[in-house]
Amino acid sequence: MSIVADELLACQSANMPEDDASASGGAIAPAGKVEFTDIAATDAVRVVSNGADARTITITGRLASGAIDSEALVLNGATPVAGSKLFERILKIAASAADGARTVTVTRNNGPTFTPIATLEPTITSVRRLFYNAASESGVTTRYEKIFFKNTNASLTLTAAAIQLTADPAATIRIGAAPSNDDTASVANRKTAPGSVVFVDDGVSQNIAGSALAAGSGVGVWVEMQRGANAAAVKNTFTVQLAGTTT
Amino acid sequence: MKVDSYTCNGVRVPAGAVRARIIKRLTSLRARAGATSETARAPLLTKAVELQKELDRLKEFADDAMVGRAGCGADLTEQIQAIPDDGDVYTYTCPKCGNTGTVRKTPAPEEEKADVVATS
Repeated sequence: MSIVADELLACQSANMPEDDASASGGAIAPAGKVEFTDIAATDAVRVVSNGADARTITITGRLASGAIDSEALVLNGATPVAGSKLFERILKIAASAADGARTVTVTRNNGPTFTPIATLEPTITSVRRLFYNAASESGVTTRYEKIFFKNTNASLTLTAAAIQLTADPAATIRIGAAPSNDDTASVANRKTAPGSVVFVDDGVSQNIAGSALAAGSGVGVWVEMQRGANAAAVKNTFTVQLAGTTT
Repeated sequence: MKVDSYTCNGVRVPAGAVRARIIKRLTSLRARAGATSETARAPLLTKAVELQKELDRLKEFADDAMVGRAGCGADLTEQIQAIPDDGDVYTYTCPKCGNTGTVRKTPAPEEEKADVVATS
């Protein structure tokens, strides 16, 4: 059976920094996701598992004041647990441990809709936003973080594989494929540019190494965020796509 | 060693135009899925799910937000390969559709450069 889109997973890298001093990049970290739907309006968060589950889910985000805060919610199996802190945006969601069988659904506590925010599937322990707590400065600032796309199909290679930035409403992002697949390159901090990477904006589609991603392999995608001098705060999303052909 | 190739995605278009394009494809796919056997339906419905996700991602944008791309397919490889890897931002222009954008090439890490010198 051909590769389907759900088999091309976007993952974190080993080092997802929360400041400008820590390392950025590294090897693939498949237990971490980078895709979620941010909370649309300031509200509490609700978590629920799909079976017996007593893990702790820690929600970290900004309150309406702008301050970063966290709330630890202990799962009660398939009975929803609602938090009390009101988050204006979500920064990261972390499970206290991995579970090979349980799926945790994180939603806004806006019953009866319960708008989805993120899903932590079996073996997934975190979902997070890139460029955590990054701020503009008196001069132009450029930061670099790394994600991966992994081909989780059991046997098929994604051929004619290319990445592209399909949406960048804030016009602040460029992306670049790592020079080789399954690489472990990192930089000393997220203000240090990775070597030998070609960063392009959303107007260009870029092939990955060998134009192919074998079954089980991952391709690193460096993400560059540039903010102008004294740039205003931005709360936005960007979309990266890996596409190719399959037998 | 990565051999680069680059393709133009086209000029910017408003979210409304992208939405209309996706809705047209979705309508067509669903109609075809409804008119075919259950077995043949599967890839059509899988594609429909992907397109619906794309549509959902566009929900937050006003119709006139320039967040889409028209599509082009022109080969920009020669132009982008000519750009030096000096870390500066350069502008490319598609010869087919006129789309312009920016590229930055970061230099190779120092240890890779030193290795090249040692073996040359």
